[in-house]
Amino acid sequence: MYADHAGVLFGYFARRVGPDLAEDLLAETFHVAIESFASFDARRGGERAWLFGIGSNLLRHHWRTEQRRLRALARDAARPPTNIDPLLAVGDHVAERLDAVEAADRVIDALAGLSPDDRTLLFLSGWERMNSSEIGAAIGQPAATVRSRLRRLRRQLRTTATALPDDQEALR
Amino acid sequence: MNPIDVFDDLRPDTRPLDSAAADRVWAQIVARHPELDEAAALATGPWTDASRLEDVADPIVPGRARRAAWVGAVAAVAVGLVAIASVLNQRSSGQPPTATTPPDATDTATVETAPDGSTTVESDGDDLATATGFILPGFIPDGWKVTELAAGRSVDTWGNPFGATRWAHVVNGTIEKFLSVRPPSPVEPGDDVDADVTVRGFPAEVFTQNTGQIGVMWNESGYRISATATGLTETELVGAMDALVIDLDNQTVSLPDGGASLGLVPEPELGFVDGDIITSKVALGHPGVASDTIFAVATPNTFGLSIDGSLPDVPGWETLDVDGIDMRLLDRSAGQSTSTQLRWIDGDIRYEVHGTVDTDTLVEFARRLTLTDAATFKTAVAALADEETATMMAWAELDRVTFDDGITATVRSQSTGSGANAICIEVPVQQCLEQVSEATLTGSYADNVLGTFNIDGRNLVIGWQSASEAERLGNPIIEPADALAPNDGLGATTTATVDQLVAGTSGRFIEIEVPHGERPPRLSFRSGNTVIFDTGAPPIRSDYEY
Repeated sequence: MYADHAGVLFGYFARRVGPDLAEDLLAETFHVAIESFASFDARRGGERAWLFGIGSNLLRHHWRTEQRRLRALARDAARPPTNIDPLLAVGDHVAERLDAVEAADRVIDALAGLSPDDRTLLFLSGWERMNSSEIGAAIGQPAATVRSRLRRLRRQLRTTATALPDDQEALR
Repeated sequence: MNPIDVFDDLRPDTRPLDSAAADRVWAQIVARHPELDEAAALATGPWTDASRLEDVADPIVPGRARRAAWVGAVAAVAVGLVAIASVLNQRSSGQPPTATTPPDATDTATVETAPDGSTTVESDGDDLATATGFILPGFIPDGWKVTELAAGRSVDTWGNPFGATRWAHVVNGTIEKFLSVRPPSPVEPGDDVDADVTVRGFPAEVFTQNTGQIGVMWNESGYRISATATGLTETELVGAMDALVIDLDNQTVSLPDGGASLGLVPEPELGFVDGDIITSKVALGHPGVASDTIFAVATPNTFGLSIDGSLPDVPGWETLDVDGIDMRLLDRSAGQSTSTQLRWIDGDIRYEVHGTVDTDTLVEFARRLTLTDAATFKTAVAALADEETATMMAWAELDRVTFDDGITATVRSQSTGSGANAICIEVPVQQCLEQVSEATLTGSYADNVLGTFNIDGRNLVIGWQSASEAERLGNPIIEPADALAPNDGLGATTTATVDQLVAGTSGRFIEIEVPHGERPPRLSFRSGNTVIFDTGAPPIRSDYEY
């Protein structure tokens, strides 16, 4: 089981909290799996989904780390390219990059306002490309419910992350 | 830019798990489960074997041969383990209950005030007192001990566990057709549906599940209704739902012909089992070898399945006659499971026994299981709780408080002395709950602990946070349990409040009384709108579970 799933689980953890903490979380996930293996029910989903469910529970306690990492990623992405493209106007480039950082910050703020369970749904769907059946098996909910919740969450993310901050709203 | 695209774009590329990292992680696991090292070495040789790394890089490749050789290591156990086992096993996992039956409502009490002002206390919660089907072990192998006992009303693993109305067509002990309709629930924001078909004049979404079930859901008169079926075509399912009789006042559904036109029979009319039979579980552990287990589950044979009709669809089942009982054996050497399994049906009860011991020992454990009554089972649960509490009370005291209502609570530390391994009530009764390390990383203690206790008819949530966590997190906010409400009669909302928040010597304690009829809440800690930490909802306690 370790050989089958360690790689993909590590990727999930590393994307969310970075590779160093990911190693610890990977070890902890298998520890919890060993301790609670009697709860595994193959009919509710495969080993992978079960392990993702355990791992997602562990990640609930690392949102501060995730948040820092997401903001760092957003700023990294906005750094000036080392090979300057002479065909692009530098000023526009800067503006675009700042817009991107601001947009990312709003998304991160919106994510922060969600419950840990809702965030897990978005990450499993958006980043891990899991379908609703797999996610349902991981979090113990029917696939139809997962789809319904994802629709609501995406709408919520869209609304929250595109709303102007209060002070800017007041100036309009 | 669309926020969803921004979210997707934030997805970073990461380095793959290389052999050095894999070895480091494996070493962490083995340090806590030394039995794995020997088993893995015997089975597959060193971890850094290149062929195994290929599997790590491509987890989609099943690697069945290697997995089959993964004898005794970890544990996917239970091909076909009944889902009730997972719920019953969640007593201390911190995870919200998911599929199947919830734990029982605890033994609650109500105070009746007579016209003369006198009061009487009546117990109203022990609905299992007259139930049957409780199992206890009659044989415990040397070196093993009982680690878990649990019993509760169950639903079968077929269909939807959330209080669904169910119909079945059973032929020779095998379910040929099955229909399950969830009770109508108020539509929530986001509960829109795709218009795949029309049901009762409303747009409805058709979905399939990886179990081979087909389903349909729609919104009608402000309510969400969904149904799943096995053995029915989409046309049959939609037709049945068009004819569905919905009683919104009582939250019930029925079919006008009882399902007869589809060959279905309503579950209550199947008549295969006595309705007093409950599901019960007993588990044994082997101190020092965490991955070793033996457990048995007895559950009512609701659908009148034959032994062969009830088996998971995997090869390797053998027939075994044990004292005249027709059992099925799946030896773990067949490679389908990391434990050996025994299954049989006796009267109205289906039995499953799983274990990492040799087959002879497992058979002996199975043949000496005994059926008992509720009172005896409850006594055994209390004895197990006392034994575990005595063990935990011997651990070092980390912090202590006496609340205004006279309840004294402590947190105890098993080895490090720097974090909590158990939360205990010491006055008026002694009860301890072990805190699993799920909420922590490789450390073996917790800085935030939360447990539910049933004290003199009161359902209490008692928690503790270390001083540093209390400073970091601020004051808690009570939030309802974040789980789909199973049909246990407990409300999905909460009216609980923080009754007491009291400083101890190295942290702070919290006491919350859970109103009867409600689930224990979860605690969240926010900075503005940002959730910094969320405890999850502790499971409700039952006198029939430890």
